[in-house]
Amino acid sequence: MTDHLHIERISALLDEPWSDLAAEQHLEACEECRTEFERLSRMRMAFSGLGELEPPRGEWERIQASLEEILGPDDSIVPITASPSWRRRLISSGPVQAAAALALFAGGIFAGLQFTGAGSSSPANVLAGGVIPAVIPATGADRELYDALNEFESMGTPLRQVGFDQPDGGTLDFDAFEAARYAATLEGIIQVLRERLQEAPGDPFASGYLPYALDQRQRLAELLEANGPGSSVVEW
Amino acid sequence: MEERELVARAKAGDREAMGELYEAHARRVYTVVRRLVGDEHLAEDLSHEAWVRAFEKLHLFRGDSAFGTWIYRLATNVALNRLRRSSKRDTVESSANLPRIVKAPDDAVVNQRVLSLALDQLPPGYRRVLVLHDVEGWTHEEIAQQLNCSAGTSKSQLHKARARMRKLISPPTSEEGGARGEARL
Repeated sequence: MTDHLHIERISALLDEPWSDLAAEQHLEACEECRTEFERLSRMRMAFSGLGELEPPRGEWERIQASLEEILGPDDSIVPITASPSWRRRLISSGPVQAAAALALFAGGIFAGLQFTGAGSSSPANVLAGGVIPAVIPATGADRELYDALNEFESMGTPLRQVGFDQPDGGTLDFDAFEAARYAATLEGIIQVLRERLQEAPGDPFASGYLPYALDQRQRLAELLEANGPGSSVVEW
Repeated sequence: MEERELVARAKAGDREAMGELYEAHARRVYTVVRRLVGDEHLAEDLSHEAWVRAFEKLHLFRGDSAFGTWIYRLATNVALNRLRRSSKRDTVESSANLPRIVKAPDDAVVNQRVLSLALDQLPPGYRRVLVLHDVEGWTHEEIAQQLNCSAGTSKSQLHKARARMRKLISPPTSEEGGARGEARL
């Protein structure tokens, strides 16, 4: 094969894997482009796994000094390392909210969608915790999400092979291309959920599902990163 | 103490409450600013500026969103405004002028440090879209609204940025400047 996909077109496939059938077909047949897709996908996954950075040392003291100039002196200044209990409360509030949302999701309140059990081995099932829509939504965001979940259903099972459900973390001899496709589809689902939450911030399905999907993405990123030189994954 | 209460105390001028709010969100604020501007010293200045401005303008915070969301947005605005101002002076580098971050051909893992270094080397216009979308998880619509451009422009910039990143972190090949990107579909 002499003609290859432009890298920007391959990049677009990462975000909208269903938008360019011709490009997808080309990927199936062209190893070089497939490798490029996998590389971009790994880079994308690595971005989402970038951790937070430590603020510069002494930043708070400098801020305090500036505040003193602007707001005047304050007698109650204390080191911010005091009182760890408030920190625990702040830190714990995020996961508690996410868990509550997930519980709501698991409880079956789905903003107009009806769900039923799916095959126990499919990636969609792994991701959705055992439920996919049973009634096909006609249009709009619900339909988009339904299509995304079904896209998962039609894919292979790279994550099972990676070993999300294995106590030891699973094996590394997964199909890198399928894993990359999986990652791309997961990105699509995350995108759809975010847009849905933008439109309806209280949507219980999206708010329950999104943290789980993000967690899966993080785990996949960690697994891909842990899959070092000498493995079957295409190298950078 | 609930964050809402901390905010109320901070609005009344309580520095301890401000300190607690700072402690809770300092990493997130510094991280987004640092990644957007691609420079440690500038990030220190802008992070400081964002926090001072936040406490100075805290009376304007109505509590419609969480304080963390508010300060995050404020810090992002501070960083993007600085980029906007400086982009008028900057010229976009050609890829030929960009230093390559050399990686051994058998380096199979995307090292996070290498990725961060490469991010810093992107032209600001590419970096801001890449950081907002791929790192911070913004949608193209959100980016478009923030940058006053179309979602299509945001997408286009993102794909160019990823392509540039690939050049920066990929091992040199015999096809350098050759097949990919020229014989295209």
